[in-house]
Amino acid sequence: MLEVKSLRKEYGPLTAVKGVSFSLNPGDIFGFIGSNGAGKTTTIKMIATLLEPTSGTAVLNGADILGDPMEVRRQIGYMPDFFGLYDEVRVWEYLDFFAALYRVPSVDRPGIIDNVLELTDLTVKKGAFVQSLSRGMQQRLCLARCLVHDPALLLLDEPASGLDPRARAELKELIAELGRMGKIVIVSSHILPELADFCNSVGIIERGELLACGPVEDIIQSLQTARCLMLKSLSDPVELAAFIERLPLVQSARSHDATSVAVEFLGGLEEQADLLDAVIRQGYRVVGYSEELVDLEDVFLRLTTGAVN
Amino acid sequence: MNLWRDLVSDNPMLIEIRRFMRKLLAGKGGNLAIVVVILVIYSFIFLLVAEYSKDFDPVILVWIQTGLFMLLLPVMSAGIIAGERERRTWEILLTAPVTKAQIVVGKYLAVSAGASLTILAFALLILPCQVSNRFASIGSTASAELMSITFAMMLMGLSLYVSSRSRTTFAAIGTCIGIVFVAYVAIPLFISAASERSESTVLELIDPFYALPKLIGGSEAGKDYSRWSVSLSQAAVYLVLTALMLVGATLTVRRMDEVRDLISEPKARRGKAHA
Repeated sequence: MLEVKSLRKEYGPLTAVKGVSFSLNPGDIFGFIGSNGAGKTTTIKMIATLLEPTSGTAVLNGADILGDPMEVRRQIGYMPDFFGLYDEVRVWEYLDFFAALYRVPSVDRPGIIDNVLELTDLTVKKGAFVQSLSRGMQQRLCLARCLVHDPALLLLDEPASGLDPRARAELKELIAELGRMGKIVIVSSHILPELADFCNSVGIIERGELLACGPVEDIIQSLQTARCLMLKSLSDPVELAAFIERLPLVQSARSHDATSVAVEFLGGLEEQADLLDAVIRQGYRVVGYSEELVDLEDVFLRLTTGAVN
Repeated sequence: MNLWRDLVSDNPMLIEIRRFMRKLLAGKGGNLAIVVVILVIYSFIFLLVAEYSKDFDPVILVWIQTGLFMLLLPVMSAGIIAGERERRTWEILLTAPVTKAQIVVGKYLAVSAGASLTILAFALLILPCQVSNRFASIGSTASAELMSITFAMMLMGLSLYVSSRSRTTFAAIGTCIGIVFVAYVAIPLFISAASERSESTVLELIDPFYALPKLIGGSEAGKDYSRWSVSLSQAAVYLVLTALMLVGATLTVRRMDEVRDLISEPKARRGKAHA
């Protein structure tokens, strides 16, 4: 279990992270969302023991980042946003080097290297030089490197940056698989729809402040005070909007285009059926009805202003 | 004992020796040029020794070896930490469960393994000379070798210290060669010119190029009494300097990262804000 408690980082007069707190359980995939400079990387670096927090701490399975950083390092796999690879080193040698650094016994290393290469789909590249790999493969190799010591927590800072759509899809599947394996995964990314696909919880950060944190559905629900319904009809949309606005539980109704009316509705599914029934009974010829679902991107845009420190 | 176990016998960074040697022996890119230069110099000396081994004083070979160290070791080791920063592998290394002292010592031992190859190669030249030259003194050769090896240890410590303060390999190598040139060429020349006496105690303590020639033909010149005192004094000075450089490198690595974060983070944020 990871508990992040009021993490704060100050650089002179600048406060990069203002008391961020959250907790995650094994199997959680946590999407860390924020604009550039919002404080994502600083928070991740503090958890990775690369930066010392000004105040607050994080505890991973009982090991404190301040009190026992070595134990924390044994339990984390960190993939930075920009990373390099050693020159003139083959894929298996690269992994063997890090496995040795993490004190993986030499007899176990070949098997572990084969396993992580299989997991990251790099088995065929085992003997290749790391610099000969494509960007996507290097990204996967870096992830394989994070896994050689079987960490409890994976910190992936913008893992999909610079990848083509296919490589992104493969990486997404791989991260989901890691979650299924019971690892805690923290992923920071700008590509919000991708995060929504496989993260079971998210944290939205702006100017070092965690604006929202929790399961994706809960955050969406907490922000969605009214459902947005779209009615398409053959009738005059202005007239239809005026009629709908008088119905119970309707917050607002306005013509969206030549055939559609957008309705902000406070009721549930039963009340939606009543609304539709009332419109049809009134003689309006409805040809389409849908609920506009709020996604992670809408939530992010609603919560944040785009300001940075 | 704990320090020995932490930094040497139980240091996981010892794996760096294998990586460094593999990279060195792969002889690709810049390494290839260095390997070719060394092989040319070595072949030339080898031919000389093969032809004139009976008249060749082994101390001269130690002197050449020391000169080679002066050029070779900064090139070989100055990029070892700066290069990690440049390649952006440094952060990854810092999240491994190793202390900064273990990283510095591991890297130092890796470079030492590389330097020991040069020492071995020269030993193959020195030994035949020592055996076939009847005027050669084993004591002079051994004390010269002690001086040369401890000088190499100090140079590697210096290179590592400079590397810990540098952001790029190029800057580290340049700075290191500059320091070595000033310390072992410019300053000795200045001291020699300024000193009224022909003997300089300071140079005798810190400059192998000043002390080594005095050991040539040591037994003939009847100076056996002083050769060990000179080489032991120099070895002691170099070992102390090596230890100081390694401690300095460890402290600098820690401080450099803190300072870097202090400067680069707000800068990066400002850049991102403008973008």
